Amino acid sequence: MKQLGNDPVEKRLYEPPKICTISLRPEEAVLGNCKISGSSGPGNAACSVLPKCSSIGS
Amino acid sequence: MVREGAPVGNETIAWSASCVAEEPSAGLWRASFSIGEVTLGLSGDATHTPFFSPQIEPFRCPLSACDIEIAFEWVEHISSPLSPLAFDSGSVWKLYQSGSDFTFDFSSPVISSQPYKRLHVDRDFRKALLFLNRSCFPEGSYCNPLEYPLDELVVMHRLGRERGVEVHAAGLYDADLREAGRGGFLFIGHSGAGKSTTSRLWRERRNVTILSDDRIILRKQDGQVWMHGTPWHGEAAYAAAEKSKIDKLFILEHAPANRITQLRGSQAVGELMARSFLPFYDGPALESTMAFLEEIVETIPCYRLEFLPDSSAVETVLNFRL
Repeated sequence: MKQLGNDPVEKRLYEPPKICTISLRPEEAVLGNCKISGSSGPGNAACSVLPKCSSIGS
Repeated sequence: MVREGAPVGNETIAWSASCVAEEPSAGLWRASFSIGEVTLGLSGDATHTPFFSPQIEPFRCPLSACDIEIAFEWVEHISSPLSPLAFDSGSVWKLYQSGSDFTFDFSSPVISSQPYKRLHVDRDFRKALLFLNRSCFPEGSYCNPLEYPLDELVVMHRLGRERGVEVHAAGLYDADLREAGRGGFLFIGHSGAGKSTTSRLWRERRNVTILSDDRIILRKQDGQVWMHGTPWHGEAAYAAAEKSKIDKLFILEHAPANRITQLRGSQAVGELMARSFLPFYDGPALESTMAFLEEIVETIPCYRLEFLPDSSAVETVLNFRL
């Protein structure tokens, strides 16, 4: 029989359910936007590989 | 050699010949990189030697066998995929699921109606074939096969299978506090939250190494959470191929005064998740990443840092004791 208090794994504290507000930015959650001119990528004005594309980003 | 066309998703991909990590033989070139301890090997025909962005050069590594092996080929055209669309990024790439594998198509209406690049990768993100569309690249132009966002996408997906995660963050370590075991600071924030500003403020005032001012990879090692620099820097252009243990994690927010408040449990996980790059369309990887975010929150103290963009913000963090 399991002895109380002998469990080597520490029990997590109970966290009662609660509502909290988290600010989401869907447009930033996905990789691919060339958001700064210093970054690499086809949306970058300095990109030497491809012509400027429509991926301007945030 | 230029192949006629890229696979369209309903055919068997021959992984063996060109994808296996080996020492480069005559007529082949090979490059390897390590980003957040995910190693990436790229090999292809030496007649089309590629170039790599200056940002990724410091991340080169000498490995002959990597976590992800990408074989690179030129093709004359890339047809529309026949496999079902799994995810549309809204930017240059779309994801298709072909059997147990993934196909990423990269396209832009400004360039061509065809994709300019296609990555076919196995479900484990171990082996990939990268097809570059010759018709989209002007004759004699240089080609960067790992061009953003392909490099970041591949690493992000592999992390989802290795208990790791990429976050929108600036990370730095303060050499003068390191011995005291409190020198690793991670500042997580959306665009405009102050990651580059914070990096500059610390650089001007302290003896710090900034791992990145925009993208950090988090991994767990020996029970501790580590942050790794990446090539994908932000406005302040800090990118170091180094890592540091994290002592404190802050969610950044601009405010009229400096204030630090502790975040716990689901609130901290939620804030972290909102600033992470997650494979939303890949259930097992998403589940594993969420479990990892929970582990992070249980391992390191998390706070919200409301701050003024001046030196007082640095002092507030340095003087903060729970």
